Formats: sequence, structure tokens, C-alpha cells
Amino acid sequence: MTYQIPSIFELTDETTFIDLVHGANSIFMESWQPTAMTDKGGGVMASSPLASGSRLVFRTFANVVESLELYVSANSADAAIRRIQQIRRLMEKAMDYWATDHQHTPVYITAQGIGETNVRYGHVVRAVIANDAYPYGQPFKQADGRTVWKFPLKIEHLGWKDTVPGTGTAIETSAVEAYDGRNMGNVNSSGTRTPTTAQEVYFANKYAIANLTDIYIFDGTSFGSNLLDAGLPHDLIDKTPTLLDFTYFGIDTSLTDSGPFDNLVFNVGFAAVYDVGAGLTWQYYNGAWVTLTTIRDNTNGGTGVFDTAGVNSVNFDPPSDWTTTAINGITAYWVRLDVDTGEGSGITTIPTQVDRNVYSCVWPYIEVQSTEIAGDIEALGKLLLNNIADANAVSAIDRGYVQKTLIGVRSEDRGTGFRAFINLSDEQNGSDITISDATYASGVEAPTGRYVSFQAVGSGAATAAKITIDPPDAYFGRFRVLIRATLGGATHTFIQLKSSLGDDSKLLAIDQSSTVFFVHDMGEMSFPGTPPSPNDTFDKLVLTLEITASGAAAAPIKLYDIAFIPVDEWAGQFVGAVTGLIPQNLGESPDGNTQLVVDSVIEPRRYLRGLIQLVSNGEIIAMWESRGNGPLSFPASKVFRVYFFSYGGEPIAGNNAVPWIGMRTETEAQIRYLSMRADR
Amino acid sequence: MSLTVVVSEPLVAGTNIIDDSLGYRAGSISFTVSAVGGYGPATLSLNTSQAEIDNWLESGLMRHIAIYDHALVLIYEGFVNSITANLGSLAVTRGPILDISNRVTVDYNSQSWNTNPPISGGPASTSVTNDTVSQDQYGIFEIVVSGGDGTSTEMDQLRDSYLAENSQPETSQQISLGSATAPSLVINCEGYYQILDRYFYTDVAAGGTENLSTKIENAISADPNSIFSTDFANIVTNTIAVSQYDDNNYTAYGIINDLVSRGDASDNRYLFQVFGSRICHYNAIPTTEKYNLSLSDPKQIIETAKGRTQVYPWNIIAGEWLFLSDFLIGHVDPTNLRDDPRAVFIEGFTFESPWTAKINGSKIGTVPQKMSKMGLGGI
Repeated sequence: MTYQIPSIFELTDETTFIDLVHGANSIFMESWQPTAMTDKGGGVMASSPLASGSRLVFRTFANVVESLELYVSANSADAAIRRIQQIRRLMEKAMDYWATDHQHTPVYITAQGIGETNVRYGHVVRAVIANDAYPYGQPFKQADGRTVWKFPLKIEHLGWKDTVPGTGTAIETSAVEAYDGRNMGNVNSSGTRTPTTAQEVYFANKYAIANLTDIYIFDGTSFGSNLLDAGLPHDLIDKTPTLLDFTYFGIDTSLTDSGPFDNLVFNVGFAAVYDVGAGLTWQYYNGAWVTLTTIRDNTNGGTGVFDTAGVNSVNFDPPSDWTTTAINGITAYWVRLDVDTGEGSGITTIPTQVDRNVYSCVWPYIEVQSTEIAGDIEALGKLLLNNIADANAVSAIDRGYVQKTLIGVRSEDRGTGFRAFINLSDEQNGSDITISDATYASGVEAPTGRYVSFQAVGSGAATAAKITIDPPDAYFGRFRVLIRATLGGATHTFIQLKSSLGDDSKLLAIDQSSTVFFVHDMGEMSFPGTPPSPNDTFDKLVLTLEITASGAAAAPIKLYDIAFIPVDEWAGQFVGAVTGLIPQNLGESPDGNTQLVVDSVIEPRRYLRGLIQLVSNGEIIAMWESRGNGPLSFPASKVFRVYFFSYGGEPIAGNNAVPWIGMRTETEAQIRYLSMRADR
Repeated sequence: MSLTVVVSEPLVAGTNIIDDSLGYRAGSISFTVSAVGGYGPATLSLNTSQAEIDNWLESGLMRHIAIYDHALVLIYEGFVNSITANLGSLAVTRGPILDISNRVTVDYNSQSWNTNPPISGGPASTSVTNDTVSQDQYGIFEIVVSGGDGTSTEMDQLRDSYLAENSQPETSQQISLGSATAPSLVINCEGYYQILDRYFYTDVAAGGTENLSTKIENAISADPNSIFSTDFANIVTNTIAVSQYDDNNYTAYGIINDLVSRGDASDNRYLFQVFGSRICHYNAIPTTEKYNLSLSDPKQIIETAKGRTQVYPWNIIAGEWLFLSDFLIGHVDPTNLRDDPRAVFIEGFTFESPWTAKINGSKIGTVPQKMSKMGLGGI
């Protein structure tokens, strides 16, 4: 039997430190054979007497129980007894942490083997020193007056982690998508992905492809070159601002997969400085240039657009009368900044864009690279979601607040072609997805500017659209499926998604009570049903969207997109609670701007929490209902994405999901090991 | 992979969340779903602190319990019917809540004792009396007590006594000295369809007939607690004509049971189930199998018949057909599933954590529906 003597083995509550290796407390470890984390009860095995063998069908991890042989060496019996008392008190504290409502300080083990590079931490759950020594003879009665007393210590702890209980490490995330030959998102000036731990990773409530193609400064006389190709940093307005100046941001509609947009993300280097009366105004085109009123400008800290340096966004409801127009010869959906020089010196510091191109966030995920999370099993996670689109002060953008968020994790090695939202549109779905058997219409409110328009002409079920995914492999797995639509005539009664591989969704009654961007929760769907073998090759997956009607409908139903939130790795849903009469929204709630913290790290006694915090000071104003298929967990040593879908911007029972909800996020992880850690 | 259990305040009180951590704290979770009724009993047991036990005993009855699966889809919904706690040598049970009555009437045969012999005045009813404190806490639970023969004064006294003694849940204790146990809690739930049996359905406004399914909807809508959804999209139309008039002190559940047992014009069996958000489902039993089970599969999993998707043990739906795919191999397929010994109609299933599903099958036929139409079934 091999015993290991670690170079660190310490019990602590961060006030008391009991070093069991070096004997600083006169207590030494004589032996310890580390125990690895294993299945609770050996897992659940299934077996049929009619078949050979048995199969593991369910497993969870048990706590780790360590058995140590310790001895205390002191120059008196009292001193030895006091040392043991110190351990016992610490272990009492450890157990009170779990068993009482008043002891909130965790007690944990710090361990590191000889030659092992990194320290690991085990959160103590239970500990027992079952025996004391015989008090009337040895070991108390020593010739030299010293007392040397051996005793066993049994400690049960949670699995080993890379940080102390209640803390995590910020991990780098990013999101990058290409359009018109440019990488947009968390990239550097060369367009290379640059993950970050800062709250600079954005996600949208849709998955479009179109992104900014053109940015021009008009100096009152002529247009400059396209700033997306100008190199960085660059000015965001003309260097010598005049009343005739504008800066235009647009998506060229002559390009494939183009469309409208609802946000712009900037990284402002030099913040704008305004003199009296000077300012910049956001405008859009509806036949004339008019002020964009349904807007939340996060670059504006109070004195004007771009007055705040750093990464911030401008979010707006796409106005229903927004139309394309030609600027500098480019027909596009445009928004622009109108310069007002005011009565004084005008804009005295010209704002600049640094590090990366201005972009529009059109994706519903964040991505983590494989080097971020080491460990042997999934890491525990913490996500902070900051709604940067909602603006209570602007009535039309009020539906940008959120009362339900669905989150799912999916490893990238399951297929890079997976898009969590399939647009019910004749564009912006990527090359693997084709929509057919549908009638399309245009509307800037749709995630792509296009949607499927279905109007029943009689009773019975009819195909509203057919979705072909070829190859289908990236879509294999289990998903929570939600269809976003704006209701038409009340004779549209049921909705169903039929699958060529796997089961059909349930037949869902269409809720007639809520109309705009209504989310139809189709429940869970699995493709292709039986998990495929790696050697299987499938032709394609065809999903048929059927609407059942009780008769001819007075108006068409607008079908925007289908969300496929993965649920076979970690998945969670967080639902706003009503406290009194005030819904504690994620957004600009009645108490101020809020963020949702999804946490399985900070409070180990709760394996999953959803907290609503004020952005201003981090104070918690509500605890959302938290549903999860486990603690928030991130895959180890893999590229993975975390997908989001948010809705509920109506009274609490509402299921409305506007596409222009926008959020930014920060992520932490606590990495887990089955036993020792080494240098990972 | 774990389930989420969300505890909310009683539906009659509001929707505030009380606890969403029982899914990983409970030592065991089980629930039953039936072809008749839908979500049925559930049991959650956990070892916990005395403070939490006190809280549950004080305020736990009628709390709303929702269980969500791995995909965050609702798979069970019910209310706390009784609570049993062990505290050392004391075992205490509160409830069942279904035994309380806080809206009481007494039906009796009126008697006048002033004559010799006493004169019987015929059937009579007392006025209704309520315990509004109990109703605010738990909802309205109606009862009609049979009072036998008596005067109106005697029957009013009986009514008031009955109300006073039955409007709050029972508490029973058992003390076992010498066999003390650790603090633990067992939360027993019931499906909301049981509430249909705690109010009476009356329609004296009209005679004539109405569609059978319309009467089901009307019985649901009469719920005095507004627990049940009036979204009837999942109640299929059944045009069998039934009497609209009803004044027989039948509960809504009794009436619905009677109506459901009649089936349709072709004597097909129908099901009535209460599922999520207390939305009622009324439809004919399916004619094709939904699930497959291979007895010789060492994994012992149920798969869907169409998509071959593994169905987790908490996701089985009662009121569907299960086909035993490697039993009586070579058996000729009959026209009707009911004639196929390999087909099991899932009358009920019980999930027990972490991974057990127990399925009860039954025989399906048309005779019960025919007999019910002749007045030989139902209530």
C-alpha cells in the first residue's frame, strides 16, 4: 500500500489554519491514502435476466471521504488536548455551515502533493474524530513529560476544486461571426478572436447573419471611405464637426442574407466631449430622416453619445416604418448620427473607435475555448446577464425587459453547424438549412426582416413551412423547442412541429390571449431519437411546421423563428417572481437597471440560484425561481457555447420574446477534479 | 441529471415561490400520473432541520408543488395534502387537507315535534355557512352533510358544529419512546383533479340538453377557487346530448366521471386528465402505441415508438399504449391494439427517484361505455 505525504494539507476557515503536514499546530499527519470521487452508490445499473450483462443508466457523484491518521505532539497533556479541541471546534464549524442557518463560513481542506504544481480545495461537509486516547496512562504518561497522541480523523468533503469554496475564477468568453468578409464580435483589429473576462461579450435574442457592412462619415460635402475597412482606431464623427455632418451605419441590402438590425456595439477610445448645446442624435430613415426614439444608448453616460469610453452598445426597437435608402451609392438599412455643434465650441474631443470594428450583435450565445476550463469533470459555473436593451423611460422598448430566461450548454464537438435559432425566413439560416413550402413577407421587426406568413383558408392541419437540415448531424441531441410568432386570426388553433428523425412535438393549443412575438413552448424534442452511432450517416432532418385551423382565418399568423435550446448537457430556466405587485424584471425594473446572476459557485449550499441584482451596487432585489437539470456546469477541456433565449416581457404569465432584447455577460467557473490536480 | 421541485404558496393565496431546492435536497421523490385524473399523488421526503419542519407543519398544507424534468418541462403539478414529520420520538401528521370542509350545508328531513305523532315536513336544506379564514388559507372545500330527521334549529346547530370541527386540517401525533428518529419530513401531495371532488356542480337555470363536452367545461368553470384553467382547447368536442339541468348534489368530479365514462357515440373510451397549469384534457384514448419496451434490452428503457427516443422514467405519460416489442414475437398483428397481448394501455405510472418507473396496464373495451350510457356506470 502506498501512502502519500502531501506538501500541503491544511484545514481552515480562513481564520484558523491547521497545518497537518508541517506541524505548525503540533498536529502531524502520519498517513493518508487519498480517495478519489466516485459514483454515489455505484450508480444505477439496469439489467434484464433475458440479456447478458447489465448497463449503467444513471450516475451522480458522491462526496469524498478521507481517512487520516494524525498525531499530536505537545509538551504537556493540556497542550495536546487543546490541539485536538482546536480541530474538533473547526470541524464543528464545518458541519454547522451545512446544518444551521447561522454559520456561514465554510471550512475547507487545502491540499497539494509533493511535486504537484497546483493547490486544490475540498469543502468539508462532515468530520469525525471518534476516539480520544486513554487518559490515565500512555500516551499521557511520558517519561519526558511530552504527550504524543495518535488519532484518526475522517473527513467527508465535496469534490476537489481549483478555488476555495464560494469563489470562482473569471473565464474568457467571446462570440465571433463573419459577414461580408469580416469577423464581427470579440475580435482584435485584425479580426482574430480575442476572448475576454470583461463584461464585453454580447448576445442577442435571435440568430441572424446580417451585420454591418458600411460606415461612412459625411463631412457636409462628401463621404469618406468605409470605416469598416479603414483600420483602427478611427474617428466616429468628422474631425471638424459641423451642422451638416453625419455618420452613417448600415447593412447593404444587395448582399445575400442582409436585413435590418437593432443594435450597434462600439469600443470607444476617446470619449466625446461636448461644449454647450452640442450633441449627436440617432436617426433612421422612413422616407425622411427622423429621430430614433425607441432607443437605449449605453454609450451615453448623460452628456451625449459616446461620452463614455469602453465597450458599450446602442439598442433600439427597429421602427416599423424603417425603410432602405441609398447613401453613398449603397442601398441599405441605415441609421445615422446627426451632428449638432451647439452654441459653443461644439464637440471638442472627437470620439474614436478602437480595437475592433463596430458591429451588431446578432447571435444568441457566448463561446468558451477549450483551454479555459481544465479539470476532470464539468466545472461549476456562474453567469452574469446584464440586459442592456431595456429602457423603462421609452415606452415602446419596454418589452425589452425579461422575466424568463432559458439557458443551454452545448459542446462544439457535437457539430459546428448548429444554430440555436432557425429563422422561418427565406434568408439568414446558413447553407445547411432550407425553408420551403412557405409564404414569406417582410417586416423589420422580424429577426431577419423576413418571416413566414401563414393564413388558414379552411379547417384542418396545413403545412406552414418545411425546414430541411442537411447534413443534420449538428442538430442531434435533445432540445427545448420554442416557436416565436405573432398571432393572426383566432381560427388558428394548434401548432405542431413534425420530425422526420425522432418524435413530433406535442400538439400545442395556440394561446389566443397574447399576440406579439408570442413564444409557443413545444416542450422537448430529440433528434434523431435514438442517439446515433459515430459511424451512422444520416441523410437529412426535415421538420414540418403545421398549423391547425378551425376555419378560414381573418389574418395571417407571422412565424419568425424556432429556438432549439440544448438540454442534454446543462440546461436551466430562470423565472421572475412577483414580490407584492412589483415584478422584479431583468432590465430596467422599477428599482433600477438589473442583472441576472445564475450561480452554482458563490453559495455552495444552493446548487443553483438565480439572483436579480441592481447593476449600480450589486444589491440583490429578488431571487428568481431556478430550474435546472443540475448545478450550472461547463464542460471541461472543450469548446462549448452557452445559448440563451429570454422572454416574458409582459405581466408575469406572458411569453412574449422581442428579438431586440440584448445582453452582455461575464462568466466564472470553479474547476473540479476527481482527485489530485497536477499542473492543470 | 436532476429534477427541479418548485414549492409555491397555495394557489388561492398567490404565486410567490417558497423553495426551489427540494429537487436536490429531497432524499426521494415519487409521483403518479393516471389515465383518469392526470397528475395524482406525489411524495417528497427529506431529512432536514427542525426549523424547516416547523415551517412546513405551520404553513405547508395546500402549497403548490411543481416538478420539472431535465429539459425544464413541467412533469408534475399538485398540492400538499398532508405532511408527516419525525422529530425524535414524535411523529406528527397534519392533514389531509382533502378532509377539511369550510363551506357546509346540511340536507335533512324536516320534522315537527309539536304534534303526536311528529310530522315530517319533507326534504330541506340549511343555508350555507362558511369559514372564511380557512377558505382564504386553503380554498373553498364544500360538503353537504346528511342530517337525518330534525328541526331547522337542530340542523343549523349540526351544520355549525360540523364547520367548526372540520374547517381546519387534523393534526395527529404518535409518540414512540425508545425509538427516536432523526428530523425528517414527508410531504404528501395530491393532483388537482381531487379538488374537482370538493365542490358541487349545479345548473338549475336551464332545462334541455347540451353537448357532453360542454357540460364538462361548465363543471370545470364552476370551480369556486378558480384553480382550474378555463382554457378548454384540450377538451375535444363530444356531441352526445346530456341533460343540462343538474341539482343533485353531485360534485364536479362525480359529474365529469359520469360523462367521461360514457365515451362517445361509438363507445370509444375517453380520458379526463388535469395537467400543467390545471388545464383539463378530455379526449379519446389513442389508437396507436406511443412507447416501446424491449424486455431483453439490458438497459430496460422505454423508447417512443415513432422516433425511438429514450423516454426517461419521469417522462412517461399515462393514457398511452406501450408495446412489448420482443414478447410473443411473430404474433399476428390484430386490428385493434386492445386485442394484442403485446400492447399495454398505461392506466397509471409511478416514478420513483432516481430511476424507477412502475407502469400499470389495463384492459380496454367498449362495454363499460355502453353500460354507462344505460346508467350503470359513472357516479
